[in-house]
Amino acid sequence: MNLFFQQLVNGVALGGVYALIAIGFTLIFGVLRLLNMAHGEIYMLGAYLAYLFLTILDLPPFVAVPLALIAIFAISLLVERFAFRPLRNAPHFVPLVSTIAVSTILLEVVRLAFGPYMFGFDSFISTTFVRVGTISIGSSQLMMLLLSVVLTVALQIFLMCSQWGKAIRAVSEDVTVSGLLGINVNRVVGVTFAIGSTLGAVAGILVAMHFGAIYPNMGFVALVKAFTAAILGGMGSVPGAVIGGLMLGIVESLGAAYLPSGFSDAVPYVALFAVLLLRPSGLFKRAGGSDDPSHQGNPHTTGGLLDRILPQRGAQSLAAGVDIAKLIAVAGVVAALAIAPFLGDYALRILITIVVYAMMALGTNVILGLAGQLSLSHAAFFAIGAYSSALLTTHYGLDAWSAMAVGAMLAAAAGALISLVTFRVRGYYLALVTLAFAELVRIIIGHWNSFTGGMMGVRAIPAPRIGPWVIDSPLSFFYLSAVIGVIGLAVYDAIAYSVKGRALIALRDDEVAASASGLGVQRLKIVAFTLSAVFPAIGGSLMAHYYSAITPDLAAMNETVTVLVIAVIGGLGSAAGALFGSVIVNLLPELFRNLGDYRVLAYGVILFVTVLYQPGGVFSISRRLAWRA
Amino acid sequence: MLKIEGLVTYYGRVRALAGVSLQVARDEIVTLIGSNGAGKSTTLMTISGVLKPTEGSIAFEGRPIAGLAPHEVARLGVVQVPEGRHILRGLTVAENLDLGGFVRSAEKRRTSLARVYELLPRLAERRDQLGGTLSGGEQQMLAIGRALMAQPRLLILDEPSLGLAPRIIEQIFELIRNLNKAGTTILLVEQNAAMALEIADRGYVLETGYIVAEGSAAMLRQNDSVRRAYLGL
Repeated sequence: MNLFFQQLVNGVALGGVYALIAIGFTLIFGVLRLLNMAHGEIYMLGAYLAYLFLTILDLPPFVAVPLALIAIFAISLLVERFAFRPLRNAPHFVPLVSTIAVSTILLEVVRLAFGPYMFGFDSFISTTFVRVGTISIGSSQLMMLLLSVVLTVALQIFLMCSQWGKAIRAVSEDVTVSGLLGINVNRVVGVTFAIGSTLGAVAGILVAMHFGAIYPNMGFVALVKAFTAAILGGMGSVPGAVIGGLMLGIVESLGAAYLPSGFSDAVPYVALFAVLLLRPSGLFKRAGGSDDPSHQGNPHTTGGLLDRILPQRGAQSLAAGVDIAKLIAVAGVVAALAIAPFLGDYALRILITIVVYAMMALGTNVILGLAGQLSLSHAAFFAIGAYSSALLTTHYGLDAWSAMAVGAMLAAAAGALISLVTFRVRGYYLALVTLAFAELVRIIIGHWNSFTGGMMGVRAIPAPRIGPWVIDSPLSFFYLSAVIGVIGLAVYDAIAYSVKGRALIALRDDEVAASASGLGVQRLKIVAFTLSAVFPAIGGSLMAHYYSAITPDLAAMNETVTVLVIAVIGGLGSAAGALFGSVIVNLLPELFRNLGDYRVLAYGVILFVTVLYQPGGVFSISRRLAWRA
Repeated sequence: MLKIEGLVTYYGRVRALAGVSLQVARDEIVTLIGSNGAGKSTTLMTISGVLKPTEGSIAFEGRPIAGLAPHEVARLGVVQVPEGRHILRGLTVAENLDLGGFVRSAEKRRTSLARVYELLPRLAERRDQLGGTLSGGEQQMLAIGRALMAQPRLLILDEPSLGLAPRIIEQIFELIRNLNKAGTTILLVEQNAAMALEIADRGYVLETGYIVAEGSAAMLRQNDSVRRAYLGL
């Protein structure tokens, strides 16, 4: 019982901080209708800047902490101005991709500047404990609780009573009308974004003090928690975020005490699924209210007046310009097949990697390019394919082909399952739920030591055979993957131009109209999710056999980001685009070998520049020209 | 007071306005009529700065305003009540009104608020109710009241009769006439051409992005093609 109350106290303190992160997140969602995937990195950056000023520059806390917060405020104003404002009327996945790009860039900058290691973060308040009965409360916990209460109350008063607060509420309801009323919408959005970010940074500093450590990846976990808390309380509601944060903190602390170690990390993800499944509009929202996520996720209803007037930009058709692309792709494949025998092992490895990632990008093309569903589980399907191949061939003596087939089927089943679970969520919600699913898969794979080998992964995966031949040389493996890749591209192309493919595009362009035209929306979504899972699973299987050793990192977030980069750069929806994107992303780092550690940063920048200036992918340049002619 | 010349506005690749010219003089009621998709709302949104014209000029009291941001246009005294009212549903009636005078001092807001409540007593009764709970007619009153809070010199109304009962429409038009008499210049877009031409001094007829007829309201009422196309006579 004592343990219970101690964990309850810990949970409340932790929950206060989660509430702070969630408030910032929900506030930004309110004015921008945007799930800010960079919120976690802002939180992380806050802690790092505090570390920089406190420990490295050795400034006193009352200078260092405000300085860090002012810096975050300024940085977020810049981020909003240059990364989000130009995209405010773009189709809904574009700004989201932009936040992913910003998140990657911030993460990599910190990783490069400070190193990927964990740093000790010295608390600047004395560590003492207050004892109440048998329960002890640390000074950092007290501070967490106090600050979160004070900041929340202050924010709520600001929102409800001040003229600025009213303006923020007006902008979050209707951007166009706010402008007509004389509100400087850009300034309100910018400042709100900066306030939300700064609250996140405060939370980052508090958590750093409490746990005494900072590391570059701390942001992602915070993001998932913020999202979960915000969803729990109802997206867009500040009091809801507070209650959601507290609940999450308490459940998590109790989970840490009573669940086997490692699996308590899964608690927020499980909570997220549970809420989205049972009460997608949050625990405290009236059902069918205006904040119903099925409306908020829909790009057609979020921007108010403007969205009705402005046609969706960048909703490119499949037809124009693709033929040239297809010709180049075919020529490229033929050339690669012809010169392969003369290439060294290293070059062949790059070619095989290109095929694997092109397969993954095809999955993205099906689900996002055709069906318009922003699902970010590719890394999970990739890992399911790879682990099925690895485990079935090493432990159960299956041959590589059966294992690949089983892996593809398992991934397809997982895809169908996700589609059923997430049927009611769209747009941004879908993005985070599916991302959380990938994290969940990674946690399970990483902790289920007896079955998956845990963090050590699986080794000695046998090479595939065709009859008497063992495909174990890089050259033969390249030919094998090229054949599979070409089949994949052809299958995708066939799907895209089939009746089903057109139905998926209808689903992308207007779900309501699609269902009114007699298309079974739920069935279509299941088809899309299932298909989109098969491509990465086969890619994962290839990867497992080629490298003969795999680790749970296959399911990591950056794999998903890489694939998204490939699909977006190549031009969403186009088969040839998946190949080009994969070539660009895998070759660029090779061409700039001396980039070394800056590779991932370069991804982030490329992704950012692409969504900002060429949201239709590199090949939309020719398509634009075609339109003008 | 308002002078628009050769206005061209695109939505993406679609040309919605193909060179619209019109003028509104002080103390006038000018109406812009036309069918769905003629470009009426586009014209208004371009005046208000929500859409940017690719060609042409807009001058308000001699000052060019094309290309200004919506809030800058509003601050000059050109205030629009958009189609569909766009009440802030989660804010109370009083808060909605208060935001209408966003850029003005607290004291001026108070004076204007008293005047709006006097003009529209229903809003005073409902001041603490959420905007979303009002009836359609009350919401239209609120939208107009909110615009009045900014003390507009030019009030732009987009389809104020949309979706309202005939009795309420009469009240709205009565209100528009009274506002005009009290010194507010009005640019009115209406589907209900008959009523619009009844209260307007002058009118313009917009078709697929072009002005196809203009003149005094009395003249337009007599115009054969206007009668056929818009008055159903």
